[in-house]
Amino acid sequence: MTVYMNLSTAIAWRRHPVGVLRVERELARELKKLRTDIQYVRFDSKSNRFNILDESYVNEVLDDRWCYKHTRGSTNNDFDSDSASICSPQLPASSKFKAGIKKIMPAKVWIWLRKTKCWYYGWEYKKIYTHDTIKDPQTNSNLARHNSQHELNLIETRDVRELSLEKKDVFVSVGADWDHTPIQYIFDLKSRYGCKVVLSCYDLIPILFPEHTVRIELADFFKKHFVDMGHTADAIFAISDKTKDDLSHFYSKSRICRPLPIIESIPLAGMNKKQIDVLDSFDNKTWNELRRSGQFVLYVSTIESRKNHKILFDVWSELTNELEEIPTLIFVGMQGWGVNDLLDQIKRSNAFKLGKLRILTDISDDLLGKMYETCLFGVFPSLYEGWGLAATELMSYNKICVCSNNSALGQATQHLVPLIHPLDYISWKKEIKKLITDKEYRLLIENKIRKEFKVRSWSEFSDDFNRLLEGVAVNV
Amino acid sequence: MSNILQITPYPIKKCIHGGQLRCKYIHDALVSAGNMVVTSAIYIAEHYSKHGKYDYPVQQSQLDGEEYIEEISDYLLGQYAAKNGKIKEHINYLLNKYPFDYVFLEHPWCYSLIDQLELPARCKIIYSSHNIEWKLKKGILEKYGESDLAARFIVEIKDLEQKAIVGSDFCIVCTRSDADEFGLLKSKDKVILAPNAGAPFQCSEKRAVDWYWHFGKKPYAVFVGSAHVPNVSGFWNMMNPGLTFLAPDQKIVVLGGVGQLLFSYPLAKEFEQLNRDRVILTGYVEKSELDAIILGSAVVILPITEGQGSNLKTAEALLSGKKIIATTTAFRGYEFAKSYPNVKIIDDSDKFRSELKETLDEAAASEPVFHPPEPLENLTWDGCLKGVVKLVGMSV
Repeated sequence: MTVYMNLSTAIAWRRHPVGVLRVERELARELKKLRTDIQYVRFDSKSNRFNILDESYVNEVLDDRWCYKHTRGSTNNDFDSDSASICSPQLPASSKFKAGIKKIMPAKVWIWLRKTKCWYYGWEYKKIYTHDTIKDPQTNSNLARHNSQHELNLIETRDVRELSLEKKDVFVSVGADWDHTPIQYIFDLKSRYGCKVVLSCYDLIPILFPEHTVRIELADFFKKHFVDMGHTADAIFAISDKTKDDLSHFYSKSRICRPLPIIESIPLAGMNKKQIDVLDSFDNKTWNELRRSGQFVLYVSTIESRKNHKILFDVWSELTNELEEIPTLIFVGMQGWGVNDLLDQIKRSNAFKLGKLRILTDISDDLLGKMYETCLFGVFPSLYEGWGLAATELMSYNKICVCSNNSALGQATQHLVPLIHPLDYISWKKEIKKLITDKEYRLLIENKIRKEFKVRSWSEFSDDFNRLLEGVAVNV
Repeated sequence: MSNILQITPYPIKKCIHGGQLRCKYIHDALVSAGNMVVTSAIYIAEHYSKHGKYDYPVQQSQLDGEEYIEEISDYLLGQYAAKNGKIKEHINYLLNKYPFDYVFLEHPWCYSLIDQLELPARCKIIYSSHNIEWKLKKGILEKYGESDLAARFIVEIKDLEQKAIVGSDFCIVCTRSDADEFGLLKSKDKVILAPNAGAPFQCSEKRAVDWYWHFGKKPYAVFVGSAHVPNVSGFWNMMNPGLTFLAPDQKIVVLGGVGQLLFSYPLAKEFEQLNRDRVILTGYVEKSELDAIILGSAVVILPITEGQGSNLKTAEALLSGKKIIATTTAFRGYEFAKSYPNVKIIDDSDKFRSELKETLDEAAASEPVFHPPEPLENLTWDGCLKGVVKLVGMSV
């Protein structure tokens, strides 16, 4: 038996690895250690065929540097290429500069400059609205998160051997197949070779919450994706019990008239904690700016409507007036969709102007680790999550992450943190206020986490996954 | 031999749907038997393109009013014709031109018009029924919710239909159960059963192979229907909640006008993208190509859940010799064929879907068969219309 793992998503993604990417990359690395009978493949959308990758190429793709080839320093080159983008009006150097200029400038000129947005506020405005505009350094197009055409041509010269399978082989794909590997082509492999197929399900959010997806037709698209998967897979790896339940419920409603694949929930791992003594110069600059702003609370997540940043914005707006000392709330994540109005509000808020609310994007794992380690606590008020990797990662650092109580976040945090309904504003505010003002209470929960939270490594995750592969090979 | 005026609610020059085909085959059978037949369609101009010499088009706008409902446009057209002097003149002109022995009224819609005319004493009226119309319309109108207007129309249609049965000299029906119902109002010897049939297969084996290749060299199912709402509702009711049971390489080829309406039905929306992926719409195709597509298929489905009369597509499916998965309703009028070895009658949606899936799976595991079928005499138009031809010949 040979295991063929699809690396199409990892190959296409050339920036900081978000949830799905992290799982695919970590699993690929760990399976490489666990199995001698594993090979890696890529789906070529030009020829609609799978090609086997040579080993040196696989090593290159799985190296951390693969993810930062374009993005570090180039994502924000419109306004600041030396550090990650921190959207805040309180950057010390510019503050002092602004104050100095204001003193010597006539009031009317000052107002005119602000209106034309070519001055300080204009600069901040631009940051907020452009921080996810990623420029490809070669083409100057907004494509840097993926490979350029030139790179795609290079890739094609390195995966020339077409995939051919035997009945006993297992084909595995855990990436963003909806974007990079249409299931029908995996179905064709299965039909042609009779091999076993293991696929993945991260969540059914586009189907369950179409109002929070970027395009209206995504719900319909994902229904087809999961039905096709039901006809193709022998086993499906679900990232949480909640996702497993959601998928089982979907299949029961869809009535696909065939024996359902095995759906196995394999909880995700936390972050690989490592001692970071020295940050690179890029991270170091951001880190120094952060340290100067004092204590902070973290929300690590794409900024999109489902993630419910609004509730935190409202809490911080109120607490800014109520408390004398309030930590800075930092949103770490790229801008998604459905949040333009919110970002507009944030920009104008007092909390933002006072530097108590910041947005940080495009940061490395090293810097993120530092932030997890030093934050006061974390928050995760998302309306729905298939898992909530950032909550697990935060817990790996023995930090509290106040989470929503209605999806997989309870499992992701092993039910050791306060869980609140995502729309219960009063309770969120009360809990956050208590964690800020009541140090004893905070330490009590942190101690509990320290004692009871089981940090799960990617190697443990991969062991479980490997057992699923063995089971599929033997039992199906 | 007789002279016959056939009045239809649609032209029969180019036949798209089953009703047109039935009228056309009746016309042809009567002509073949040596009769002189003049067909005059009184029809809605926007609904049909080609028309014959004596046809009379009516603009839909002339029927428009506060009470216009598309689903009963044929009834409204009949009512309009009864009040319109020009249409009356047109029919009178034909009656004066030819010494007709029979007025053959297809559907009851123009009965009010015929009833007003002074027909020659020798001229007999034959009401050629296609359905129990009031039941069919009731089923359709009730889908759109109850309304006083709909209820009133149902009563009026029932009244018109019963007048046509009672007032005509003979009635022709499509099914045994229709004959029983007509028999309650009319002497049974004046009710003639003429089931729907199909035309003999006209395609070559090679053409069937071509289509099989065209559709991806995988077994496919065939669904044939006209742009008639009950065809669409039947399909989705039996496929509910959608075509999720079909694997990515399994398709249903949808032939005929039904394809125009297929995705406008509410039940099609739940899994619309997937449904569209699993369906291949061909639109209207010529008879020889239709036959070839059916011959190239693994199974013909007849998911008819409502409607009256017999389904012409059932006869065609039976003539194909292909495996058939159908509802009981689809086999109304063909009860004798329910026990054929290639026929499965299933009324439960889950079982219908499972059977279709299983059939396609099995077909994928074996070599496809494209042999032209053996002709079935009791399913050809010549066979089925014998009684009609005999009636006209005898009663003159």
